[in-house]
Amino acid sequence: MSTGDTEMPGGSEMPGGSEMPGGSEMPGGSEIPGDSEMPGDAGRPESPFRRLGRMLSLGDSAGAGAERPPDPDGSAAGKRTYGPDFLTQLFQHPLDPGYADAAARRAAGNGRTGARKHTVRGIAAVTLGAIGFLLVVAYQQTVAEEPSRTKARETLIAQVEKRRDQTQQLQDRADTLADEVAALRERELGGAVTGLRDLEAATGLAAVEGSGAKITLADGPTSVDAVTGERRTEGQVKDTDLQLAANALWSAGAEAIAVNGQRLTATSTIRQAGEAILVDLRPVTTPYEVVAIGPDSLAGDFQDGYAGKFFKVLASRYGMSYDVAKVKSVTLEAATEPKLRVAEPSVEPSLDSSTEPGTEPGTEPGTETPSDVPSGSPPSEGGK
Amino acid sequence: MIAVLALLAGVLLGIVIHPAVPPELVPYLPIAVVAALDAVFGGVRAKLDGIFDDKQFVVSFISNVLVSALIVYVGDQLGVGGQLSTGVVVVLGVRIFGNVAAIRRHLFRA
Repeated sequence: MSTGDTEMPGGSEMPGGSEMPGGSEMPGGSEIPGDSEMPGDAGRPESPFRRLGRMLSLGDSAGAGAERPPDPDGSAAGKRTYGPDFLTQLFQHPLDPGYADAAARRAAGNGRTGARKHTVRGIAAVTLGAIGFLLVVAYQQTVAEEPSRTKARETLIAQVEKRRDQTQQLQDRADTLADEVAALRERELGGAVTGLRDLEAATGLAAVEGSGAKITLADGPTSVDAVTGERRTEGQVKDTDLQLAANALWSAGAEAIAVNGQRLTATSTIRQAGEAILVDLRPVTTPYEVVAIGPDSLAGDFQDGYAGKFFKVLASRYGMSYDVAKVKSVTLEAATEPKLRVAEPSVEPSLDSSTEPGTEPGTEPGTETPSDVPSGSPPSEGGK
Repeated sequence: MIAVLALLAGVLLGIVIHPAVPPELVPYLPIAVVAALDAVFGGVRAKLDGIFDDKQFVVSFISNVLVSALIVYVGDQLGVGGQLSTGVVVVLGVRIFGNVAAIRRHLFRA
């Protein structure tokens, strides 16, 4: 293929190029793609009636054709044609009409000659070069973008892992500090610490281990009413069920209870928010495991009590699954530390116990020393 | 022949220079490629039809790229950039398809 356009323009494949300025109508072209898809009308010359019908149906610049100013699409003088709508033309005639126009001009003898022709040909070559350049740039851009996408992902993964490590480190540090605090407390308080430990275990602030009972409750099947489209949720475990189970366990002598690993304390809440059940504002999902540490008779007492019978009825009637089992050795984690709301010293701090300066800031508001301790700090933490 | 050489020269130039595309031009790149392909296939088809015209080719390429870039730009400003890009790709894709079909018929008589 050469760009030298020496052959006759408007050649055999061009159906009647010289009569078709503007190229808005292209009848009878066997080379026109989409011919076969167009129902019949592409291959036939346009009759005046057909044109009229098309004009009326399309409403394309209604009015008598001959009297109107020439079509801006470039129809021949006095001959008004109504082109098909844009999409039809697009399918029927994908080649830019300008090529046909140029060929017609050349056929009429108005073609470019000499230096001008060479200039235009050079510009076309430069354009082609630009196209090749564009293709390569686009290819390189696409290839270059791919690793950047995966890179971003990898960076995020690395960040996640780093944060996880940090959390683990902080957790370890918190554990060591807690151990340190426990050791210090034991040393300072001596015998009183056992009582404190018992209190912590009872209030849920320390992990406890022992034998007891495990009650498992799980949602039954939910069916959808075929007529109303309403979901029947009787088989689902409600917050009241968990409350009932927990209360029954307390009354049966349980010393510590956890719902799905969430330790219950004196201020714990079990309530429903929509379809989710929240234990101390943390969602728990089915199956619900209520584990209690208590006397050996705990499981039997629960089963024979009101709650056990109630759950048995629920299970048989609504398909809720319910199970009571004895557990030999189970560990219940400590509950999250409750926020300290009110604190007051139970005994007057004796002066000789404050070996370090600023150990009890705020306890003697009248004799506050201008130390590094801010005046409004809570009295719980001593300076190191 | 010259056309193919020019195209190859452009490709080599792109490989050698390896330019960095400014980020604000990146969204226009795919659309520009489609517009360029439309111009190229239109030119090849016209060549086979025997009605190729250099000026028409240059003008159609430049106007294709500019108009499609403008449409994408306006679409981005209006918040419908994706849809308008789809429209541009559909229209140019239909044209490419039609022209390639014509080229195919020229080359294979089928």
